[in-house]
Amino acid sequence: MELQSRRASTAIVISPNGRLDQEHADSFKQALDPYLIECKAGGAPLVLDFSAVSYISSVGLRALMLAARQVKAQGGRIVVAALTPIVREVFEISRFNLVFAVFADVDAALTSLATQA
Amino acid sequence: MPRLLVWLSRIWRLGRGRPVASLLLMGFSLMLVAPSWLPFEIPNPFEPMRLALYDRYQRLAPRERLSGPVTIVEIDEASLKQIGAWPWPRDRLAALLEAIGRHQPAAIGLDMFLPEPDSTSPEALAARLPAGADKLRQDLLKLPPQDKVLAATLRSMPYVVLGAAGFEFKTLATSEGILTKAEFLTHGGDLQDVSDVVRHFPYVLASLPALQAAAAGQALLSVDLEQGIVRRVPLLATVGPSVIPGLAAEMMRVALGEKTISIDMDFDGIARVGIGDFSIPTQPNGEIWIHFARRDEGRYLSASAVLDGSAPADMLTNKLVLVGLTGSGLIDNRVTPRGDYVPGIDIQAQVLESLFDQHYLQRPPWMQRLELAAFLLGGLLLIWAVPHLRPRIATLLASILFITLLGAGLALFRYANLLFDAATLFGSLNIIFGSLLGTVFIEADRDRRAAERALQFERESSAKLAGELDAARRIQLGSLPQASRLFADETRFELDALLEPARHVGGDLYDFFLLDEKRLFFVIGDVSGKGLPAALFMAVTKALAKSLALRNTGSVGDILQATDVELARENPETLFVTMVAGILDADSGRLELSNAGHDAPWRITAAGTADSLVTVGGPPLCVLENYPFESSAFQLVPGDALCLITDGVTEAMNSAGELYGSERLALLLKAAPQGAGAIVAALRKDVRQFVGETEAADDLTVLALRWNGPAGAGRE
Repeated sequence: MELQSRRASTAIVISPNGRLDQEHADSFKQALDPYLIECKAGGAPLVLDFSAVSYISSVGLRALMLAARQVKAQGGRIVVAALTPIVREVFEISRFNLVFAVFADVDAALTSLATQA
Repeated sequence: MPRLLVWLSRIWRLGRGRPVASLLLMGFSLMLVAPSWLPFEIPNPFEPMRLALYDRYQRLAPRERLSGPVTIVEIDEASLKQIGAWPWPRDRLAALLEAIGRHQPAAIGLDMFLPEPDSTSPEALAARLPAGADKLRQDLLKLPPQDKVLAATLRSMPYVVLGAAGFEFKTLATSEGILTKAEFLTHGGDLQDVSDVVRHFPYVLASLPALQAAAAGQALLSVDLEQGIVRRVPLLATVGPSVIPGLAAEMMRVALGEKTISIDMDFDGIARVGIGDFSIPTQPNGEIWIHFARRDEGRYLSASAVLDGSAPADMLTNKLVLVGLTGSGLIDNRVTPRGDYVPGIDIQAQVLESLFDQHYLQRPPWMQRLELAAFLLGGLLLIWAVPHLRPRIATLLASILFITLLGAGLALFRYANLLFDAATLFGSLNIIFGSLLGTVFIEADRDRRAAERALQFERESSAKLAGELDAARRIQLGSLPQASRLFADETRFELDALLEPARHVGGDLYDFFLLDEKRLFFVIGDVSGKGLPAALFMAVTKALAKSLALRNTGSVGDILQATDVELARENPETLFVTMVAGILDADSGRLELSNAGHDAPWRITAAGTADSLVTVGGPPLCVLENYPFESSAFQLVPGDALCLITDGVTEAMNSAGELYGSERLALLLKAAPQGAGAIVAALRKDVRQFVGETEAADDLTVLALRWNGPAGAGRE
């Protein structure tokens, strides 16, 4: 999976797309890894822009969980933003909003990160 | 013997067949070059093919006739009828020669032999007369001997060439020498060098010495046959000790009024034979290849027509006239490479004609080196390329090579009159190609067998794996409790559950058991991922949850929290599991639920409503460390039912890519019949209908529980 990424004022915004399911979760995680390594204390936080993610399965959730663990261990921050309705439902059912801070859109996420930084 | 064959086949396959092919290449190269240090000559196994191809060329590209310098005066059936049977009295032959001579031909060649005295001559008759016929004998003896008459004729016509035949063995009529009329002038060697290279006959069938002395020329008529066909004739040969020209060369000499024939020698042997202004390239052994023209009946003239004066003068004047026999039973007919069946004399006419037109078929000494170069080039190309290529492509390459060779041979013959031995190259390269291709086929066969063995092995091991997976499936499904057995006598509630793994084994789980006399514990869960890893984690989770539930006296949230801690402790693959667990007080209808990131349970009332139960809880187990799971409490009324599912239900997909979804589920549950078993059956049927033929992507698990009331009051 190719990840679009851009440097925003206070964070790096990463935009995966498509389905994060059994088939694509591994390549998503691999593509994400380089960013995760850089996301540590004092570094730029990561914003996962999920506006183009149409579906996420438990395997996709596991990839996110691993990402969250790694970043947390490094003292960095990672948040998700702009969930589509189906993905939002999965996040609510699985309570992954307890794992990640979830924002309505990327701007809201950036604003929040800026004030906390 | 089989062991020897196996051994040979192993050698053949060595290095993808290249070593054997290279040996063949060397062997054929030696055959082509025939170096002088080789103690023996390697026979060319493709000789018949070579001749056949040569004949094919002759048919495809016959010689074009430029001038018609030759006339054949044939002693045919009509002549025999007029003069009498052969041999004719010599005075009749003299008369024929004189009749021809009246038209002043350029030369006359006799394609016949006159080795014995004329038996019809007067002195021969006189010798046979009985005693007493003295008068007649004396009268006869007054007449001139007929051989003398012929000799006189020959002397008067200084342009007649007599024929002789070479013999390998001695007969009554043969002699060991011949009177040669031509003189020879050699360059680059002497006459002995010439004798060393040309065709040699130890004996000769020649004319009477008196006739030899009288004639202007003496020539050899013999030709050698190759597989029954005349393809080349000697311009020079030796009989006994003397060098003698062939008929065509001698007639050219006589016609041109030359005394000498010059012979140019070079390293390989004879290079050229010169007669007057003509310089004829020959093979090193003094032979020339005949390029045959189409058969021409127009050059034949009957001897009877010459004798009775009716022959057209332009057929004889300044012509090279061959006199020979064509009447049946008198001569051997010959087959030409073009397939024509002609009298031997016609072949002499063809040779004369091509010499006169200066049209020579040549095979210069450098042609052998060209052939060797072409052979090595083609052979190395095959040895390099064929083992790399698939048989079909290799055959195509070889075909292109062979067609090029044969085409080049024909083109050289047709446009340059050069003889290129494409057939031998074709044959040799074909054997090399066959040897290589055979190896390729054997290798392909071995590869195919190896592939078959590998496939068989794969099938066996996958069958074995499938067998093991089937066993795992039986163990997994067997570890799930059966409500009908467990709660056979239960009246306060009824329960039913279903788990259908998408593969052999799955990552979903359900469980239920009584904690004490009235408290029923139930759980449904879904491990992230699929297959064997998920199935193992499912088994661990289920066992852990049960043991913790039985030991723990706290709420259902406490049980989840304890399970979470224990599971996360040993979880190398960082899998997680979503789960809903509940405890139903079967006497009071009090329900306690806790949800770890799982789909919400549904409550179905007897009145036909279906709602998902919003509960507190937390993320899936093994996601956050030591999460404090809490419980939500509900009060059921008798007849209320719960339905717990995994996302295998809501995310079941049909062939159009649509999901089953919670709305469809809500509609079904509202309309579902009462009773736990009925709910499970209806849901399963509906999902199956929705999915159709599409393969299930995820495990499908349903657990339904209906509370009938403290003493089965709600039960009908």
